[in-house]
Amino acid sequence: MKFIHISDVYLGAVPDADQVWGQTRARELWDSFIRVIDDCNRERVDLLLISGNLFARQPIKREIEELNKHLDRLERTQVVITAGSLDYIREGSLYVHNSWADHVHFVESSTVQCVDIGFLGVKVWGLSYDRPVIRERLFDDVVVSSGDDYNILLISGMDGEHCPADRRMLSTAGFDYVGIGRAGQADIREREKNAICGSLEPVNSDDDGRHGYVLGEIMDGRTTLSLVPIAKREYKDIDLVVSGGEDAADVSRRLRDMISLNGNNNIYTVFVSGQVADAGALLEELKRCGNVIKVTFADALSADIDRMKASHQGDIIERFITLLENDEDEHAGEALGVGLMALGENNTRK
Amino acid sequence: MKITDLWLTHFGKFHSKHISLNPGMNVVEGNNEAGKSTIHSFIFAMLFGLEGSADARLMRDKYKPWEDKGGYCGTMRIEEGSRAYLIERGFSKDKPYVHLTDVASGREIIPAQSKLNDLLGGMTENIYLNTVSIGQMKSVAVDELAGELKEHVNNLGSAGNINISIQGAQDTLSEGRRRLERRLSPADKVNVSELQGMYDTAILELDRNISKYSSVADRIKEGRQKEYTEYSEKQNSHDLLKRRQEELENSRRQITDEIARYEQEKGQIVARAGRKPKYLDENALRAGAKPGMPTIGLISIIMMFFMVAGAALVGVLLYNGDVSKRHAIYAFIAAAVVFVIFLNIFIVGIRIRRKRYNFFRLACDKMAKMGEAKSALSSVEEQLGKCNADLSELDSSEYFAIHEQNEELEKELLKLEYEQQNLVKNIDDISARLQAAKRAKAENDRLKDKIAAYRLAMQKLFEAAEEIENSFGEDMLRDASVYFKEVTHEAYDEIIIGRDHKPMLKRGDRIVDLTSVSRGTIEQAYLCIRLAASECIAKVSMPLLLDDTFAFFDDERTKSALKLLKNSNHQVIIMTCQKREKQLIKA
Repeated sequence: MKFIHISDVYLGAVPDADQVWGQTRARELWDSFIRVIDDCNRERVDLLLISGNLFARQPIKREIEELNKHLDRLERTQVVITAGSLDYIREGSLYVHNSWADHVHFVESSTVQCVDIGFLGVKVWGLSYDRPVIRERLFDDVVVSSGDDYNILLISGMDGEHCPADRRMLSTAGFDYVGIGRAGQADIREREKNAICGSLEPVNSDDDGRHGYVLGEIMDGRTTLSLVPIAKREYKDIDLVVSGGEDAADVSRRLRDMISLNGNNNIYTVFVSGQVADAGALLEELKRCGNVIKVTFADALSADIDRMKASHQGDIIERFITLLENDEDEHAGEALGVGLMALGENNTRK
Repeated sequence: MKITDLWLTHFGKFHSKHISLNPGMNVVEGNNEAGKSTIHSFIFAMLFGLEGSADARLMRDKYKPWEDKGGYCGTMRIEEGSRAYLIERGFSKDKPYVHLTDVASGREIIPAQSKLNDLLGGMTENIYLNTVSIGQMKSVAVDELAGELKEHVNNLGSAGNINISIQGAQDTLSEGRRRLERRLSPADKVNVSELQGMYDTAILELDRNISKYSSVADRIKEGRQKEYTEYSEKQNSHDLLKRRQEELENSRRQITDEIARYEQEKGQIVARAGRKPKYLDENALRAGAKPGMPTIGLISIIMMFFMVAGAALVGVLLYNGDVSKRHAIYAFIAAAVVFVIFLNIFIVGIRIRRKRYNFFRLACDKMAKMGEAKSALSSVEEQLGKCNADLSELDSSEYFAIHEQNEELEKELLKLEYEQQNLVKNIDDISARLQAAKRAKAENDRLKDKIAAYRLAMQKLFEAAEEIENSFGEDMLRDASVYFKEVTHEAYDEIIIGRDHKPMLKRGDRIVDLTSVSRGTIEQAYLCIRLAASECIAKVSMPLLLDDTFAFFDDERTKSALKLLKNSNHQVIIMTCQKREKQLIKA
């Protein structure tokens, strides 16, 4: 039996809403979901599992209609959907009021229930969130039913505030697959028959790495899993070392080249180190070089403090280092760096 | 420590150059470009090597032998107390080396650099350059000189390093801090908690809308179900009644038209018929009365009878011969004529009666029909009235109420759906602002940390400068003042630090600004300060190296300075391009 597992699709969200690419990203979330539907048809997938946060908030009528439209295009795939901590089922939720097609099984229950898809020979276990935080351990007592059917468990979150559970324990509970829905990067453990599928598309700069869906197959008691990366963009880091002779235009040119090399579509956090005269002006220039979400300037000085102390015995540099190197103030390290840099700049004999 | 010999084996322009030095005053005399600075640098290189600081490495490149004659190296002999040591160094970048040999035993001391550091009393390159290696002041103009001396005093006094400007460092930090402060986003751009509150409220509003939407949708579903049920029953009745109403309306129209037509026709008939025969009325007509004989008809018949009778009589008379044939013919003709006349009258009378009878009959028919029609109309109207009443009753029935309600609910649903779009747009807008605010706040927090670091650095720099000032700054100035008083032959009493960290000269009660004294005096003050610094900072007695220090001194000043140096118990090595110093020392 072939299946695709996704979670944290965040339809309806506008990632990086304050940036120029924000609205495009919002549409790209839908595009990636549509790609999953297309892949279900192309790969002749039997089961599509969506474990939480299909939407970033409660879906509205128009969004549910669009969802129905896309799910209706599935040619042979059964769908099981659970709600997560963001799109949890509230009073009047359109998840509950929607007339789902026959091949779509929405789990309304807030306790673990079983969706029995008899003709496929599979039982899918899971629950939908009815509040944003669930601290109770609701999955500890889930027992795999006997029989020939495949058993799949879906769980969203699996951390302290969101359905806490022991991953290892779940992997030994007898399920043919445990699908964990959580934002961030995927983490596939094929031997343990479980996977965190991660979000389909990254939505902030902490979400680096590859994103996509988990494609799995259960056959003769064996489960194979792989990540299919389909995300349209990645969040990446770039290190820029500025040398003394470079002005903002030079640095910008270099950054543009690096962005071009790494993909103009991706979204970048730039770490700048080296000799930066005017960080403020450089920041503005760099932000214009492409999809640059953040620019961070490294601390002022990374020098061999001991050597500096030794070679400046008796003078201000030695005294300054002595005063700060054992200071417990949280800013002492950085104060040492900027102070030494200032002293260095005002040392006529370097 | 004293330096006794220098062997510049391969160093700069020198190859196998040997210089012997006295323990007291030494003058290395030569023209410009003769190599005095090379010798000065050689001594530095022998003591500290050329692979340490950036300055040292620059020096290594600068003094690489002009001609490759087998190396880049030198040897120096020093004495410390009763012991003599030989320092041998190689300066090439690839294979630098240092050997230290105890001259008496001939044993090499390992590790060489460690022992050398001990002999130097831990003196570093930095201290050496700030103390015992005394060059010239750089400036030319007197006011610039005064500024340069101020820098030296302050730097030495507070930095312990002639080249580091504390004020400059503080200004740099201050400017750096101000730049960071300028990058801080204003409060209204980082109001994360306010925006988060707005976002949460917007989400709640959407939740409320969706809840209401679902509730209305449910009500519509229920209402439509009920409407359908009522509809099934009532709609049929309604349709039937509507059809009936329509039929009855049509009937009424038709009957009304008919009545009007009958009226019109009757009118036309009556108009044509003339007066209504008196003997005829509708009842008689209905009872089947016939037109009957008009009076003139009877008269005509009687008259015709009389004519026939008369003709018969005449005939009899004629037969009897009572009348002449001619009279009889006249009588027959007259009777015939009268007979014909009355016959015509009779016929016409009958015809007229019959015509009138027919018209009247027609008119009566029409009236009868009109009567029927009116009666039918009345019936239709009665039925129509009932039908309308039934319809009204149906109109005000529950079905239409439900239908109306559902229509209103549908409108409300549409409105709620439209509102959803606006609420989502609002959420997106707030989300954008919230994300921007979070980013700005994170950046602000980072900038504030950096600003705090700058403040801390400025504070600690100030503390460090104070420590140095307190520890030796005052001592240095006191010693410098003593030397200065001596070299100026008590022209001045002391060097003090005035306002704004400016060094000033004191003569009795008078305070003299440096800009109002000669270059020579300032240079003298500089020499005394350097000498005082070397005493205060350096922990062992080191040779003093003076490189063209007296260039701007007159003879008298030079003499005083040399005397001061001689009395300082340091070995003094003077590099100069003037013969004067040698002569004065000899003298």
